[in-house]
Amino acid sequence: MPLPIQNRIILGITFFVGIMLLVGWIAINEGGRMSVFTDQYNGRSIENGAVIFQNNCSTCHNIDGKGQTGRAPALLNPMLFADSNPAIDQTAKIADLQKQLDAANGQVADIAGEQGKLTALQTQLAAATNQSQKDSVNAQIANLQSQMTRDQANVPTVQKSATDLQAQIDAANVDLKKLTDAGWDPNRQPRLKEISWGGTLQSYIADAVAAGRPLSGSYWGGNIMPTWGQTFGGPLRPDEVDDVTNYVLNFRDTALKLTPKDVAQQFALPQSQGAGPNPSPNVDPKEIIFTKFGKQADNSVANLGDLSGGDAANGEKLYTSLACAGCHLAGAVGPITKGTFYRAVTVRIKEPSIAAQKLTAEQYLAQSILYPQAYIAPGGVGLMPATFGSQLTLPQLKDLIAYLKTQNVP
Amino acid sequence: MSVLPVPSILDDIKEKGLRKATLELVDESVERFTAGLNIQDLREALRGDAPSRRPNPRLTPHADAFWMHMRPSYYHQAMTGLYPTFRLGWLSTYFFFIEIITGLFLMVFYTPSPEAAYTNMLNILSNVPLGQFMRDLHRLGAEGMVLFVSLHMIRTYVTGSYKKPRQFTWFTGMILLFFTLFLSFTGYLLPWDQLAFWAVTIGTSMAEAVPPQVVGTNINLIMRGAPDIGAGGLLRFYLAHVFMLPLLTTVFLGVHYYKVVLHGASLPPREEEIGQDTAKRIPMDRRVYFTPDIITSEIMWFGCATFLMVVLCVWFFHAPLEHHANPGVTPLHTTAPWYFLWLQGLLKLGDKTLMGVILPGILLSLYFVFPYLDTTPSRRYAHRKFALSLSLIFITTMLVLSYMGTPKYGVNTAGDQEIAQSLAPVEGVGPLRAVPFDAMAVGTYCTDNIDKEHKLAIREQATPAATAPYPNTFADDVTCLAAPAGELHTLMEDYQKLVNGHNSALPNAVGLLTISDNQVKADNKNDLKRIDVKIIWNVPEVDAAKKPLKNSDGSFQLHMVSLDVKELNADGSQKMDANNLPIIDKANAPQVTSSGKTLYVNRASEYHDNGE
Repeated sequence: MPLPIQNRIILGITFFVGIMLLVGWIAINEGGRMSVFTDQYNGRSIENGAVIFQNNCSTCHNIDGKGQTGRAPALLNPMLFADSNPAIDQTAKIADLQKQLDAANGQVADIAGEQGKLTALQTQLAAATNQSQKDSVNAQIANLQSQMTRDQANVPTVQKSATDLQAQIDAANVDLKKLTDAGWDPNRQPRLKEISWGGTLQSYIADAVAAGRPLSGSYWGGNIMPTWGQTFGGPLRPDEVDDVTNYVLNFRDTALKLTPKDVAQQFALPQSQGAGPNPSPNVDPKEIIFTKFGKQADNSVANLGDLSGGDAANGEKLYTSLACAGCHLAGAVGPITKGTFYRAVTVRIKEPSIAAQKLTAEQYLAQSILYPQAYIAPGGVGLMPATFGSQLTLPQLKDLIAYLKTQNVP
Repeated sequence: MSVLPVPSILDDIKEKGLRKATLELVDESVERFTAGLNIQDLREALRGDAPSRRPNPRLTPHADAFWMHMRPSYYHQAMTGLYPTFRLGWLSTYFFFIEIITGLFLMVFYTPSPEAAYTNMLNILSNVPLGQFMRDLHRLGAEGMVLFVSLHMIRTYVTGSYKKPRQFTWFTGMILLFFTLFLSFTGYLLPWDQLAFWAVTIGTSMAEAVPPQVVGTNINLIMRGAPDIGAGGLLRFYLAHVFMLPLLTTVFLGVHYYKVVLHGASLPPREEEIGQDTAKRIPMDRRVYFTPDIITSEIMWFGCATFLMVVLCVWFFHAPLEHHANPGVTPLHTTAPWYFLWLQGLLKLGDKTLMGVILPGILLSLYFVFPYLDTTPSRRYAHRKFALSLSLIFITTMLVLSYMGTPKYGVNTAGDQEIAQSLAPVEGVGPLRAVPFDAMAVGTYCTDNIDKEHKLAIREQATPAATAPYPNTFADDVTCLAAPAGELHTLMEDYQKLVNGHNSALPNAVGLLTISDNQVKADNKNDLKRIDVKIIWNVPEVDAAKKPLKNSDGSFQLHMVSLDVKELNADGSQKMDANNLPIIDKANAPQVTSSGKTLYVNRASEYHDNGE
């Protein structure tokens, strides 16, 4: 035995005391450690959610979460996070002021009516037949006259208060105008209030992610929010649904600094509030390109004739509402919008496969929109849907091309 | 006449007085509890005195008590030093008990279901006081148990302790080694994270290779409960881990211990004559009694080992927890648990059935019956040159095979993926995530020059297309910033080294790191940054074997493509044609390709301080 027994006992006791001290020290710090872990895990959850959002949600809700007109509403959206709509609050404030103003004006009108009452009493006095009637009317006249003296003294005050109120109303209306200009619609409540959601924002988002929006197709021209949760047949596990939810909830601070105009609004109105499907661009079905001109097996666009003369401003609107911007604006998924026409002229139409078709730059763009698989730009992945020929009319296509022609920079 | 209607202690008190009666009662209770030692005996033992009573009361518990009868009543003095046992068998048992105690604690908070298991892990870490500590102890103990049981086996082989009459002790020891590996392996799956899922997928896929096919398929089905690991597999692994294997291990541990009592612990080879076994015939003057010497020593070592475990779990070791198990995503460089790496290495050498089942099967069968095959009587090292050389060869082979099991050997990952993986691994931290959140200044940094702001032209013909969207994939130019001094600069230096280290496969490679704000919070708590790692390089011409071709001067032959070149005016502006369109010329230029990955980093999940 290398150690005498006493030393072994002392050493053993020292170790056990050491163990107790260390475990005690861990136990004391457990509260802090657990809360740090909870925060860290929430952070990881947001990171995972960001990846899932980028891979699955950004195609419709946009990579920055600001939504796409005609496709999906913004999630980075003050209307989603705000507790109340400032335009509605402002409208209520104006109504309240108006009420006060009405009261003040009523007071002025009452004072003005006192003279008529006096005249009536004097007529009554003249018609009085006995002394007791006269005494009574005289007393009333005396009362009224003293009242009138007092009221007359008040008139300037009341009138001033009415003027003040009017000024306040005018100022409030200016503020309201600012709010409505910023996109705050006084007729719409923030999302949760509007649909009378009984739970929290967290449960609302988690529910929408997991179970989808079965009716959204009737609002967004066939774009249905799918069921993402595995519980409802989608691909995401419950913890992944939570991750995406945490990511969306983390938009809060940025969202509350924005106004509704900064992002794609268009939350569908509940039908209980009398809203029907989202108005889609009024298009005569007979004018749709593939209906009118037929779909060409060889992807030719020559049958469309001259493609110039479109309205660039309208084209820009279409570029947003058809969600082209979602993939192209930042160049995240498809080639970047900036320089589209420049590249078409300088590069694309000189590519052998395009050159063989003798396409003009406009025709190249038309072909790319109607038959996106005909030629896939280097670096592209061929994700663009081939549905635009069934959505657009020829003038709309020309508008789009006119808009793209403004993108003529290197 | 009793004080009470029945005999009681009061009679004793009446007869002997309170003090004496109480002391006698305590003394008697102690003697019953220790199965033979009264207070005086214990006092003598702990003082290191010789026993004053005859026969030696310290031997009584070994005859009368259950737990003590499993231990020898005395050892040969030659067995009490560090050599020859190195306490390895004792440590193996120690870890088994640590695993049972911590395992019971963890079981309380665990449900064996894919829906709940991972959430349970998070709950243990975030909401159970001492949860992380217990989990760390359990995991560390599991690794320790595998390690020490294996070392125990090697030691037994080296000292020749498996020889007659201890062949069957070795046999039960092999069974225990087997159970230890399976205990550890079944426990691996339970956290239901990516590490667990894929390590076990690799491990169990070997069972599928057992010939003939009908056997392999059915073994696999029985183990996994389905063709793939899922709810059924998790439940089966759980039941094996907490019930079947501990039960069987306890049974064989009993047999193993009983054999040690029966045959005595084998002495160091030089202590006995060749062919003799004198373990049970210890001369009086060389006996070291279990009580008090061995038992105090063991309690001291228990304290020492536990103290070390606690220190390790407080400061140095935390059980890993990766992302939720995802059958759809195989993390790059998945490996089996370290003690099965040799098997993975073996699998890289050839056929799954031959290398994964038949060869290890033969090897394992040989281990089991080895004492019955090696019947040479001498245990002296000098007489066992062949057997000892064999063990050295075996250990070396296992180490080499284990190395071959790691991704460093025989896994051809493209250099660009390797760089991205080294910088920001799919699982775990890596150098990128370890950079403090505030040190990640927004901007793009490039490895071609990390100290100076410059322009980097990325032409748009990046092929093949990136699978994840990267900023600027389709943009023309990137402005690379000078990396600010500090952690980000250090990271870029690492990145530079990685890119330069792969330039034999990636000509003119440049690594880009783009940091952008994704979500900004008012309270600075949950800010989120997006980080894009992108590597661009020139595509080399390759031969039929896909090997890059080189010029005579050793440089790469680059694949050329037709490119647009802007025709410039004298002042450097773009020259326009009559239609006010830019004039572009064609020129040949090396093709550029790129790849990379996107990740997000949240301030709250700062990786550098969470002990991973």
